[in-house]
Amino acid sequence: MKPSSQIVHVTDIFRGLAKDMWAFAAVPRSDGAILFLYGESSEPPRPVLLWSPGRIQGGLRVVGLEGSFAARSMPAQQTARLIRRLAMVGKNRSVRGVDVLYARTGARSIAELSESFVTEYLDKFFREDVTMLGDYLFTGVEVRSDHLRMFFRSSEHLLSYEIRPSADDIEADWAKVGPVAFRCDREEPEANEGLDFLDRYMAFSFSRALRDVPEVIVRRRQTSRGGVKLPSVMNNNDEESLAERLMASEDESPEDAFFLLPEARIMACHQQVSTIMEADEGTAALIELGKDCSTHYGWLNSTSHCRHAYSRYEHLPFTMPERFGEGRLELFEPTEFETIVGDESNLRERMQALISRDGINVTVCFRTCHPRVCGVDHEGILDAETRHESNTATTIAVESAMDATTPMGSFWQGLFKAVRHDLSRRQRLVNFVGLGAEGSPMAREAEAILARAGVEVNAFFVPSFRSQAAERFLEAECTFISTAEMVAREFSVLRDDLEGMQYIDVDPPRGPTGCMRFYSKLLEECSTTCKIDPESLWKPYEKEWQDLVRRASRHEVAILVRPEDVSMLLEPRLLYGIDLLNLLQEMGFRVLVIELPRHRGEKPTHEVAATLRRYLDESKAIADRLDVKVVPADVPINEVLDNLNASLVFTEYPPDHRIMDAGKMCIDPTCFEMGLEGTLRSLTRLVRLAESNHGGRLDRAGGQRSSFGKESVRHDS
Amino acid sequence: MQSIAVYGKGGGGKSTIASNLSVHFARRKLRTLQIGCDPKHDSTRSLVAGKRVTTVVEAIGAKGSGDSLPREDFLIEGMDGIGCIEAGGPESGVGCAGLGIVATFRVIKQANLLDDYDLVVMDVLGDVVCGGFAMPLTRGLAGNTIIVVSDTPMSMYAANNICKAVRRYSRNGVRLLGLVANGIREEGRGRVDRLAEKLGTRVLAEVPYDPRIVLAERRRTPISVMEPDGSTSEVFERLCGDILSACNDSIPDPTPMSDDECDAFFDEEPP
Repeated sequence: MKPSSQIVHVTDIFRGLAKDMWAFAAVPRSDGAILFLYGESSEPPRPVLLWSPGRIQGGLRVVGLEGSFAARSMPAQQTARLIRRLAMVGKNRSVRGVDVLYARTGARSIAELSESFVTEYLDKFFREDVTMLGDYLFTGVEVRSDHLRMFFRSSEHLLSYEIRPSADDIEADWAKVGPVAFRCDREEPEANEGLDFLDRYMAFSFSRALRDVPEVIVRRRQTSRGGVKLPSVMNNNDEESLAERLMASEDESPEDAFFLLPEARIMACHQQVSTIMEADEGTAALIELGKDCSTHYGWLNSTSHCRHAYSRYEHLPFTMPERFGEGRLELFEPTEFETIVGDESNLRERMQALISRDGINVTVCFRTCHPRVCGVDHEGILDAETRHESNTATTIAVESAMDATTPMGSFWQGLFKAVRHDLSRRQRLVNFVGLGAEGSPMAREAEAILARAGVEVNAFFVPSFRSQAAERFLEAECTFISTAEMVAREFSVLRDDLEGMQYIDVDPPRGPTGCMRFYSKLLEECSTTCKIDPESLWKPYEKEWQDLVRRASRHEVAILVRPEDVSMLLEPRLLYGIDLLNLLQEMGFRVLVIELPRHRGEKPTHEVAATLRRYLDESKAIADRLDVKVVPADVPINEVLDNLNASLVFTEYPPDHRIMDAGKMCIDPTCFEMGLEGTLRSLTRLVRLAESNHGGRLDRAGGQRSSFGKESVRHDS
Repeated sequence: MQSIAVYGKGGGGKSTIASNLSVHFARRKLRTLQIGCDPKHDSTRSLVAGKRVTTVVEAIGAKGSGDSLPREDFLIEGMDGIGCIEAGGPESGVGCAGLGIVATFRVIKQANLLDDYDLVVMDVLGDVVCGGFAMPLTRGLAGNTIIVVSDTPMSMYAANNICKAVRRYSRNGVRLLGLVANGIREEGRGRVDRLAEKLGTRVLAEVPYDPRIVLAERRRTPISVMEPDGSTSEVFERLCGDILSACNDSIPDPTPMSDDECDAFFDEEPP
């Protein structure tokens, strides 16, 4: 046996994988799936199964991982979080030596059983004299006349697996995976102990490496007009349709963008609608999907649909259709004839059935542009059908226009038709809108601080609110609304509707200064007599913060900006209320703003540089540690990223593989938490990411730097 | 296969002109199909002696789906072998007529009908009110377009709007052959010519006001059938020849006016 330093224990890999995925165990399954077990030791384990890429159509797809992943037994948001996590782990796989996440793209249905079988097909899973499973080390392959043998050796036993071409007449005790079948040769019964894991790992790796990859996960690439490579995001045999969709994706996804389009940022909020419907107890929804509208709302109906149509939404956590339990959500798709002639009878029947169902107290009718087109009056039908119903408290019609977004404002407006408006206002009772969900760390912190001043938070309104929050919303004396554009805009509809309430706009609390300003304003507006010094609120975090700032000062964060994105840096409300330049510098980082050309190949306009210089002249406070560089024409984005010294790069497309492939770590808006503790947590996370030296390792293999940067401008404060 | 779409303001005589044109095309031994793209489904009425035609939308409703609908379900043979199809659509105030047009063309395409005819005449509802009614243009089905126009401002305004649609879809091979002046009043003479000049097109023919056209309509027959040797029939025969020769001409895209230009044009015209 070789020295142990060369040996990679597969069990360690899975243990590491479990740790990376925040699970307490990860187990490979023979069908190519990985089972993760979650939960505290005191409670029964909660299994989460991530299927092998491509096994399940309509699963969640993650950029950078070749295939769709499907998960069961957990809420969609958590699934998406884990999938993203999996992608991150996947990017770090080179550290591990054996890649458990690897899925062979374009796997062949014919496997040649030659001496190079393992190196050619299973190289990610087995390496001679390196891969160890339990007590057994994989020692090599031997070709026999009509089969192949893979050998494993422990200190006492020799074990071999016989591998043959898969055939219909093969005996039942053989495991068949794709083109091959295998069976363990267990001539020594005493060696059987602990071999289950080995059997499973064999099947797991064969399944991953040799199965035909369904079309859904074959990463087709197509050159677009601008020369950028676009991944295919759909499983559709209709080539004409494929081309159309790719064109649509191309039009909507600027090739060098690191900031989302404004409407996508709103959409990122809207994707919660289905969660709301699901989360609210006793809510049933009747969703009408006109045939011509299904593209816009396919994501309610099918997880994959929207991602197919809009590639930039690929990373968003879409709710999986199976999450909707039977009886909770009704999907109604009118026939073409019903749409043309405006036939309501079928719709009426479905509504009647829904309304008469027990246990449903709120019926939400969520409609697309279809009724507008064909003139079906859903609300009128709902009103008529529920007029004499005693068990259905409320009916709400939520309408959405043809512009592919679902305004939360409309949903909120509809919901507020359901709540009591005759509640008397209570003093020292306030609502929060867009400032954290109920039970979130931010909410708990604000509740505790305001409680000291005798103020109670009544309702937390976020896109994924529960209807109970709406029930008591009107009891509050005033409502604090986040100035983040997506919140303010969405709430504006309701703000106009609910008269008599005092509304106060507040910047979301991020960073020490932002937090202190936030709490000062809250306490001031609540006219409390209790004196709380906002600076004293920050004091407990100060020392740790300063330590982190010192560590952060050794690192640089890069922000790549096209001229049309510069407003995101100067108007924080557009970027979820995150004042990125100020916040990063307050955290101690050096900030490098890279100006990209408006379109690839164009000469730089220096617009961003000029705008920032103007802004910096006006705002000296942030000028200390900020550089601006302009990318010369024709420098590909990967070259720009490769040549950055920054450890962290900002993106709204996480996990952004343009950044990760360049050996940098990406940070996104979710890295910036609200609140005092959130601020500290954010910096801790960013410093840890910056210090991970992930980039440094890959950089060493990265080659020489180009001359990019010569045209840089620098603002000297 | 050549296709001619007849557009124009509602009530402007499109169906009358389309039916008479179909008759003259058929007399020239051209296998002709007329498609009525109007929910009120009366485009081909005079070609089938007033018989009730099952519309495509009705056929879809009866079968539950428009997929693989046999042509017998919605195609009827009119006089001189002219194929007659009515798209049909919803009653007033409900549904989506434009989607009915979209479905009709899909059904026709699936039935491979167009290959069996030399010429297709499409009689399309009034103005291009929505994408559905622009369907013959958007898909390039209507290679050639004529606009029926009278000397009234609303009719000319509609003609200008239709020109915008033609220009927009010229990338699909759609061309404007010209205007057909219909029922021009004495005081309106020359007005359509000036409009044509503004729109960068020409007047293909002037169909005079003829009370016998109304009589023919009442008898549910085209005037060219009722009075094959009459003066109006001669106009249609000439128009038919002009259209066929224009189909081979090189024609520039129309130059529709902006709303302001349109207003200015009407301001300059005598009442």
